[in-house]
Amino acid sequence: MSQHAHTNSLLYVEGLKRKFGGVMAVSDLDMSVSTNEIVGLIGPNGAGKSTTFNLISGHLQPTEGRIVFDGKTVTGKSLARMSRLGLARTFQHESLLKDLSVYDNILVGALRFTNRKEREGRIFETAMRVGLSEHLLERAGSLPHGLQRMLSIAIAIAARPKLLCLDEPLTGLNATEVKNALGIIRSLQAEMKCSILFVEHNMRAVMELCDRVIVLASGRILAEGTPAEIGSNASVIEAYLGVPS
Amino acid sequence: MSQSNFNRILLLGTLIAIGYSFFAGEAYSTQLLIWCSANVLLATSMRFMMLVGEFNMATVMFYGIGAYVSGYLTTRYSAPFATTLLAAGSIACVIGIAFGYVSLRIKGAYFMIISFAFAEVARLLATQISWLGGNSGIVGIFPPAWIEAWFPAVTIGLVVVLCTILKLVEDSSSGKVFAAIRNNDAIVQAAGISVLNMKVVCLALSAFVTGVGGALYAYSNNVISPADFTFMASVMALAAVKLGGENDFRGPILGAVLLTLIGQYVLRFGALDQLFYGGAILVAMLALPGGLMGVLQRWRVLLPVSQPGIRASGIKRAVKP
Repeated sequence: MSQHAHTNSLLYVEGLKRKFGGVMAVSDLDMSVSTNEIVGLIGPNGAGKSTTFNLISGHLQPTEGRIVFDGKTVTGKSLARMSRLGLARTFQHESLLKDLSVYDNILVGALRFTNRKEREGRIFETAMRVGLSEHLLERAGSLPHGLQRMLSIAIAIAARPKLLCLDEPLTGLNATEVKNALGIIRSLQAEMKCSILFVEHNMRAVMELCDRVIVLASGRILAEGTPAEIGSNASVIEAYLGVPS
Repeated sequence: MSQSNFNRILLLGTLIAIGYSFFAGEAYSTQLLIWCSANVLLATSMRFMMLVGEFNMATVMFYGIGAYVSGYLTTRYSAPFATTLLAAGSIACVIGIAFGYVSLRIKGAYFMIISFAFAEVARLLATQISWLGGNSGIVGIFPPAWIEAWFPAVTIGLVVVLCTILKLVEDSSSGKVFAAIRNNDAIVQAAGISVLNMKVVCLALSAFVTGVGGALYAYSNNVISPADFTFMASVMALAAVKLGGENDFRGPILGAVLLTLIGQYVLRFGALDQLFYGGAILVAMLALPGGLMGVLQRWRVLLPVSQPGIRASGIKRAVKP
């Protein structure tokens, strides 16, 4: 168990393993996310980031290990159950309902967490937070890529989660859009007082946004620390660049 | 033509059909109106399941269940007309829930195959159950004498009510979730909604409506047998949806009425009439994307109200193109 994985964290996982046939995608993973903390999960391709993400959110079931969320053991709970417990996630691909309007996308996100009276207010407020107020009636699939990424976040935050898991939310965005998106994510965290688990390939963004960074390689934790510590960690540099420091 | 004018024409057609049924008495054309109505329910139910992205080939099973429940209750217990209709819909609905929890854990082509298998097994079971009349089925299913003159009008009225209920559900928040499931069920799960439960709700509603449709069919035909409920009825429903257009609620209504009427003409070709429904699906898919409703909108005969799924509930503003 790592120094960070303690029982009063919002999320902690212990000895998490997931096998796909003969391949151990995630092995003996211990990690935690504290309340109001932004944690980055990084690693080279095939490191097990997405599998970890899917295991934590209930999209995949672990082969072994324990997941505790908000004081409850939630190992093996389904994606829908995890969402109802307060863990919302976005998806790297196919992250929105393309044939539905922006309004209806957010409606689906908010439906389980609002009553009829407060639903519309929640939808407008959520759209405003991510800059989609002017696009509510547009078809989601016809939005520019940057706004589609914001919409996938809007669907997740419509539930007002305790932990928001963002799966590569900055993929395909240009520099201006990345800057804008980081500002939105930062303000979401501050206003909604939620924790964020953030999987991303954009190192600069991870270093800028996260309080703590966990580096995965071959399904195991390679390093863990503040962005500054990770930036100067020899094993991390070797894992990414393939050369010893 | 605007959408509201088109709806007015549909309503006028329905009222004319009801009025005509009073004057025509027991003519063949009245019988045809009832068959059209029952097929509208079958096709509308088929499309309702397509809202969650599934082709339910067991639609005919629920139609048969409804017909057998009403037939059995009427001939065996002389149960009141309304009771038999309600029982037909309710029992189809309950069986739909059980069937849904078993079969809707899989989706797409796998669900289509399993639903087809269930329907065939149910039909073969009916041929073996003696108290359901075996291969001969049930004979002598008549509506009560006091309603006989009104029966076609009652049938059309019931179809309008049931179709309206399905339309209201489609436009509600649940309808949005159905459309969302068809789009991307992982996102619906991630929003804390059980996809399986919602699909079962959709199937249960569809089964209720189909069950009532089956009961109306039994009363109009007076005789039912397992041979009436082969998978061809599901194929006809699918053909009606594809021909009329699945993106519009009125599509299957248009498709079912047209196919029922043309179907009577092709009966004269004997066994070859079976080719007709398959042909209708092929023509609709190759030449009429969006079905007849899609064609009406493309030719601007009918002004488009919105693209599929773009309706946003609760906002009274013009929809951006």
